[in-house]
Amino acid sequence: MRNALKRVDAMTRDEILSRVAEILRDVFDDEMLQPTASTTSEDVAEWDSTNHVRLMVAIESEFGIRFETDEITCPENVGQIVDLIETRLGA
Amino acid sequence: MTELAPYSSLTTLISRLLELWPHHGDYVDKSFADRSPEVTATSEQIASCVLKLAGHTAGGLDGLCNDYRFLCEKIVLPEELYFRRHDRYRLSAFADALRECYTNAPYMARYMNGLLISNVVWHNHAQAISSYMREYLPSLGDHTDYLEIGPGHGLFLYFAAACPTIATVSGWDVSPTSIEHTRTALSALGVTRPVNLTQQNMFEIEPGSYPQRFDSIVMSEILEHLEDPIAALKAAAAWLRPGGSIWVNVPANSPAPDHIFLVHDLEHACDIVRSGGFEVTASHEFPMTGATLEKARKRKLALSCVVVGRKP
Repeated sequence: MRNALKRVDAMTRDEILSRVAEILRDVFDDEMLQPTASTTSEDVAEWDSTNHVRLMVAIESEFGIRFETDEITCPENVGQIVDLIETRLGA
Repeated sequence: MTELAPYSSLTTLISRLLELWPHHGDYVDKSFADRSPEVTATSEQIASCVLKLAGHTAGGLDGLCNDYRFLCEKIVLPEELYFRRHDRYRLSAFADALRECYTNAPYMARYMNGLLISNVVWHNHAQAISSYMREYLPSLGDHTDYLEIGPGHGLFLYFAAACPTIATVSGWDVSPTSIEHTRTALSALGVTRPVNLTQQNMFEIEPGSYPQRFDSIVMSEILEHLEDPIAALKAAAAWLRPGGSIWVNVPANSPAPDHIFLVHDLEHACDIVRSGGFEVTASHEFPMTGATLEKARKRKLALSCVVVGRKP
């Protein structure tokens, strides 16, 4: 576990984005999804409030972090989700 | 999206809601995208009721719409987060729900107002009440003695009161505040026929505690609030005549601050009704807005489970 967290801590922004993209494909059951930092919920048909919560909880699990409740609804695009992850990993 | 222009009440309600909460537009579009004309027509009837009730509610329609947004963003979303993290509802004891929710009158008022609007906007709620109106009520025989346990907003009693085959209409709740709320709602909706609204504990089944038995009992969104829903169904069965029917609407995977019993899926709901002493004669599951049935099952998203049972 310690080693796994260490690897996560050392990830670059691009590596975080890549893992978030994989989570997005899994949560939304869409293997064709190629999200970028500017991708928003409006770009993904099934990205509604409930699936957003599923996404954020999946990210928490993947990165071993925990968001504050208010942070869950804040991000307006994938890049801002990566920002949050970076903040949490650096905290 | 289904064209709402022919439906004046829906148009009024949805237009105002989206003026107040423009970002909810995509959700509303999805909710109405695959609604059949029959279900849309029943949603129009519900919307008409909501508009009448808005005229008797502090804050009017805007207040109801704002409370609906409060329900979605401030009541349901935090519970959804807990549910996804822990795969269970946050509370499991009635005493905790009583302490956190039921005794907080201003909070409950907003919660109930929000749920009223949800009967129009949320796909699963609209489908469930439509099923009640289009399938269950017409299935009742002549001279039916009808009881709803926990009538809340009064919509089900309103439509029951308009059903010509129903001889007597009754509603029970353990809370005098809820009974008074339902009484006010039925008056606002223009119900003139007698409706027996009584503060009554359904578990008090000893002879003499109430002078009547029933042919039909409705329990909509009640079981998830109870620690032992099977015991509640057994109690309900005691109030039914042999051959009588029960209509149960219970949500699966639907976190809320006062939901303490987690129903997993339709089969689980049917098992509960059977364990309560009923033969299941019909069942339906309606997925939440934006989800197909397949995806709702796979992702453990909210479903409204409607189960009709018959007392042998």
